[in-house]
Amino acid sequence: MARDYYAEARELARDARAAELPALGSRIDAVIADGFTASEILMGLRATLRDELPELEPFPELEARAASLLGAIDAALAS
Amino acid sequence: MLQVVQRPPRRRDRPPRPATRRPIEVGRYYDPQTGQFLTIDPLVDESRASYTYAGDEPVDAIDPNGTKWFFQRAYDAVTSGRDEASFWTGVANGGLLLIQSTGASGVGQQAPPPVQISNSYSCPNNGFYQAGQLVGGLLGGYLLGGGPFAAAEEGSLGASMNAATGGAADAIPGIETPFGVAEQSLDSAALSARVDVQSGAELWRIGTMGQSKAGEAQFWSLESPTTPGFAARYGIPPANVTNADFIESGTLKPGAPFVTRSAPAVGASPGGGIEVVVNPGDVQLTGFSAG
Repeated sequence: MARDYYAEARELARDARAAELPALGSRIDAVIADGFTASEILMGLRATLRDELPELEPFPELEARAASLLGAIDAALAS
Repeated sequence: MLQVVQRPPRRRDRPPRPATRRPIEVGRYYDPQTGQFLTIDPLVDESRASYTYAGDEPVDAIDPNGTKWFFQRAYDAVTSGRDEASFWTGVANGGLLLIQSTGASGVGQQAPPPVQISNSYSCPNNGFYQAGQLVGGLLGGYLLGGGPFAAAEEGSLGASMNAATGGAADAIPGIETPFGVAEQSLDSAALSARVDVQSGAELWRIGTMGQSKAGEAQFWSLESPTTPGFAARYGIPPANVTNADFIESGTLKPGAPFVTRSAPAVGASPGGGIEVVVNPGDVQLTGFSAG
């Protein structure tokens, strides 16, 4: 079974909100809800994570999860 | 356990080919000095040749992706679009396949094939496979490449390599989207689907009024979202289908650029549905239903 990028992203969104980073949470949820194909959603998540990663620097655990997810999405889109 | 494979001695009976060490396949490097690959064949179980280049025929054959080799004559015929009566090509396991082209339309036949090359044989991450598909089904590659491939320069492996990549993967530019460039998938299903799209296959999309893009949308499917199992094949949450309140369909405008992609697997969803990515407004809508 493939990695569940959406579940991880939603969890990240929830924890980002808890860390008072509402923009990341909102963007992730919108990308997943609006996407019509896996590539559309994954490309949207990748762009969002790239944009927001610097904001996560004060939160090393969130930053590490986001970076891991970003790498996995990159690989999924490249295959 | 690390396994050390000793490379065979350098061949001195044949001149080195003018190639570079440019990796154009799945990470294999070709050494023009030895006429061999520097990295092991990823299909070594099939080829039984760890480093052999082009069936050990480095002068008469080419191996653009490191996993399948062709005699230069066959490659030239394919890439130049010539309608040759027949030519031979080799495959990674050393077998030979006679290909006959039956007309300028590019319709091809295999006869009689000592070794079968299937159209569905997948060789991702290399541009030449479209030419490889030509071998299995001559028509496909020309269409997939957007026209006959550039002719390979006689006797020049480097030029052949460039023609291979330039005529296939590089000939299909990515599509800009707000999320970055969507690239063409190189698996056989996605490449074959290009012919369907160019032939006017219906494209589909669903969304939510006031929230989702409609005519300007860039990501489309090749099957109706009402088909059972659609969400799993296209790797999207089922709620995205059930919550949609409009469905639209259309065809690609003639000559419009596009890429096809096999939907990635996500969690329990296997993916594999064919996505079609276009520039905004390049789908001519033929149907729209709301509610």
